[in-house]
Amino acid sequence: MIADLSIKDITDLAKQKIVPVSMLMEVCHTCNENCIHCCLNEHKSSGLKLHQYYQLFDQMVEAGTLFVILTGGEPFTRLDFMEIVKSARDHYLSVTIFTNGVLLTKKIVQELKKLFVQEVHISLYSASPNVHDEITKTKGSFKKSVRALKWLVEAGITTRIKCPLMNKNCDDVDDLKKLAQEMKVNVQFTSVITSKNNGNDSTQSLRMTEDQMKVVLADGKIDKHSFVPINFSDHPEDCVPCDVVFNGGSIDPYGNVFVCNQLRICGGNILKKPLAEIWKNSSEFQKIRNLRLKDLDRCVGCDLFKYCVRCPGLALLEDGNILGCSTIAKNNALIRKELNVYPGQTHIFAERCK
Amino acid sequence: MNNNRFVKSKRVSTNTINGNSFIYLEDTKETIQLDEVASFIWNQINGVRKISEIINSCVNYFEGDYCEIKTSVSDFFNTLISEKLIEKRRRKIE
Repeated sequence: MIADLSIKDITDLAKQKIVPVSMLMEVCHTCNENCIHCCLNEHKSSGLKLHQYYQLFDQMVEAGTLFVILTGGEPFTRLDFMEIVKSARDHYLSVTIFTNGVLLTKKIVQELKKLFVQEVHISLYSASPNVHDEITKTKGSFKKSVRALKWLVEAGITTRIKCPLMNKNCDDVDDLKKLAQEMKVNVQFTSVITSKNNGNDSTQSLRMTEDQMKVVLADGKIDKHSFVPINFSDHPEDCVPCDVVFNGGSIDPYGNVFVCNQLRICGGNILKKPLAEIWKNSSEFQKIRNLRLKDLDRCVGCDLFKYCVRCPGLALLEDGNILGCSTIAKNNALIRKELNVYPGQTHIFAERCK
Repeated sequence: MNNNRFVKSKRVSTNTINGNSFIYLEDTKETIQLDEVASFIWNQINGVRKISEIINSCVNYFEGDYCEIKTSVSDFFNTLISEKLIEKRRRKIE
């Protein structure tokens, strides 16, 4: 037995062997909140039937999956959600849940503990109840999300606050950090509000202003940055632009398998073909895997390259070209250049360079 | 002991990648990698197969000496038990 491995060791091996070790599953699009920044354009699908999830978990085990993220919509709007969690754990899959926590009860938290759920991430948008409830458009939601956080921490479940920053809540960062510290949970901020997944860009008006973004990108605790550029290889043009579809993907409530939940290119549907077959044989997935930085319109050689964190999903969704420049990535890269800081992490994948 | 059946512990998440099983311990957040032989045994621990049956399948698969393999498999099971990675299957009350 070899111990002292990290999860990253496993995901890196999976990346080399092209195994879907980590899958994100949207078990429904229904939600009990009405967040202003939500990327979903509709909240209708209540997801696959329970027995179909049993079959899907069989398929995942077969395909090599070890880590599963269960999300929605709001997953707990499904009355049978705990049965889905139990089924995943019966398949010895490691389960992380993304939820707003509003529907959690003490009893559910105890069940999650007994099922050895790996982590629960709670969306909390501010330390101020008013700001949070304005964002969720659901009165009383702050109180219920914080209550859930307390129960999870008391139960000893690893818990994390997730907070996308926008112009409404970016001034609350310090207070939210303080609240997280008091509650003994980690807090993870994200600085990009994406367009809706049908391309509707109405949510872009919620993004931070340039000045607000400068403050966020300058704070290494919010946006992990470095003072030296990442060195990919001597030949960055041969690197893979993003590691999605090498070691993970996502599945929507209809059973469609995507490159990732941000890059909605479908490789097939698990109700028609097993996951392993879709993963291995999808020509769409293969096309994405074959992309190299030299295939992109102007990344290599761009003077912002070393400051940039480009998401191919956002390039396609917001700028209409998976090979093109991503405006949001470019804008943030310009700010990093001005601040003289570099991204602390990237999805550019150097290990497979030829 | 060899007539016992074991199941993987509830605190374990596991799958096999490229012939090697990986075990993630949900309570301690530790990760373990098994070699090919250990993975072969680990993947047969399903609450149905007895240890004696697993020993026989190892003898057939690896074509080794029965006594040596029996000792190795028993040692491995003892390690798995002491590390709380497996537990004896509870008999269902009919």
